[in-house]
Amino acid sequence: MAFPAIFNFFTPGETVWGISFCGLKFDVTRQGLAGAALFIARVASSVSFAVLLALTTRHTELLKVLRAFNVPQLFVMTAGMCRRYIYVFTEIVINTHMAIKSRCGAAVRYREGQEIVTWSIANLWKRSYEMNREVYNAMLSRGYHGEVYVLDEFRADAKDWVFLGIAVVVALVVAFDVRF
Amino acid sequence: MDAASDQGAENLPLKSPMAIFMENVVYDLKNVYYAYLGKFPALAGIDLAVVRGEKIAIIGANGTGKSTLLAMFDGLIFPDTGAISFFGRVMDERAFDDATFSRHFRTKVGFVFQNPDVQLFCPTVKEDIVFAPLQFGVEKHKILWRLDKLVEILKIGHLLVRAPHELSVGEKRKVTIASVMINEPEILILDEPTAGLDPETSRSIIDMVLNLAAEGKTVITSTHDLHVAAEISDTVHVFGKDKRIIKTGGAGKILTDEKFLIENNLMHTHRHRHGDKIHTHAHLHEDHHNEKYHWPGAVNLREGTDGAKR
Repeated sequence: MAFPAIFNFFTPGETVWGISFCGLKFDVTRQGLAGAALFIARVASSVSFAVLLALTTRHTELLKVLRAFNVPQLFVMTAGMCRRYIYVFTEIVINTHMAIKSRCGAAVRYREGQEIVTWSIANLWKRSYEMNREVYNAMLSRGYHGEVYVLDEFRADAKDWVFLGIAVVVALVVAFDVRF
Repeated sequence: MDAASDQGAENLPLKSPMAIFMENVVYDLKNVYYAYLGKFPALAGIDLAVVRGEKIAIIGANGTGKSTLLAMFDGLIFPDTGAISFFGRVMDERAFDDATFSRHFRTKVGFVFQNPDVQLFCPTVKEDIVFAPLQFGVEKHKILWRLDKLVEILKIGHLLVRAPHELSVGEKRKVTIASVMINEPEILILDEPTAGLDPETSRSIIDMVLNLAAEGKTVITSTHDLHVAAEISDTVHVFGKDKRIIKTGGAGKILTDEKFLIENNLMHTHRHRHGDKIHTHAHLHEDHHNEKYHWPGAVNLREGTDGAKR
């Protein structure tokens, strides 16, 4: 995505390197390179922070944070259930794969492989559909009636406030440094 | 009690034994039929009454309608024809549209599903266990008190912060039972509670159910395991291939009727080896206690058919 930004069409400026192709002149500009580098660095740091957060925080805590930000409870519950059942369906897929392997061996011809994958997808869809009904019944059985109530135990303790304070100070320092 | 109230009590009309019995009938099923998608029969003419405090086992081969009946007991499905009532009130979809009845029913009845993955839908074990009382608006301190009690009884404190997929089958089963028991239901319905569990976990679950039964709760259990049925039930209903109850009676009587159990695919002959002798007999719990249930031709465990001492 950042690649076109390095050319003079999008970012005019001081030419660093150029090439002609079919009578068209493509110049890479210093300003274009700087803009593309900044874009890539921002994307990389955002993704890194997201991955770091996901790897270092229990998903249940992340869901609680969503609740703290007033995301509707039904949405948070649905997100939690999606994650919960990904593991159940992954287990089904792994077991199906093992069963196929035990009967067909590791080497399967391309055409047969396509059929097996198609059948597995259909089977998984059928099972997920059945489970959807059963889970809904289990929810009804335990009092679900359209609205979800959960145990709200999210509390910010001293460590959270200290970390928040440090983050604010660092952000202010960076902002001050950039401005002056 | 003072004299005035004594006099008042005397003026009350006496209830007939039948009226008292009817007041204690939890479920009353009359000629219940149910078919999946309207064409695959699952229950074909069930007549059954469950009385308060009763311990019932429902046994039968696969596909005889046991789980369907339990789902009906829990108000999740309703008869196509015939009727089911709960303490005298007809259970149908209209009844559950009444929020008061629905809430009353759901607080009284607890259902432990056969597949724990279906029942554990929350991100953590703790959230799963407290789900039901939260929906009924039970106060938080009461919920946490019940949770602490259950954690102690079931020894599941170390599981509370875990996600359900991080549990073993036995742990999942314990958590599902906790998630139902926290609501303190009067009627407990269990669908194959010990299926796929190791002996120790099975034992702990049976003990737990026995404790609940001793508290006077109505316990309805569907099982293939005749040992479990013998232990946790007073009355056994046997389902046949024609999706109806083919026999009802005391656990002691039905579970010792070998011929009947074998005919209905509830017991098999068990063959194993003792040294150089092959030993064949019907496999019953009582085998471990009483040799009279061994089949003719079976080698006596202590004195083989050859008379040799073992």
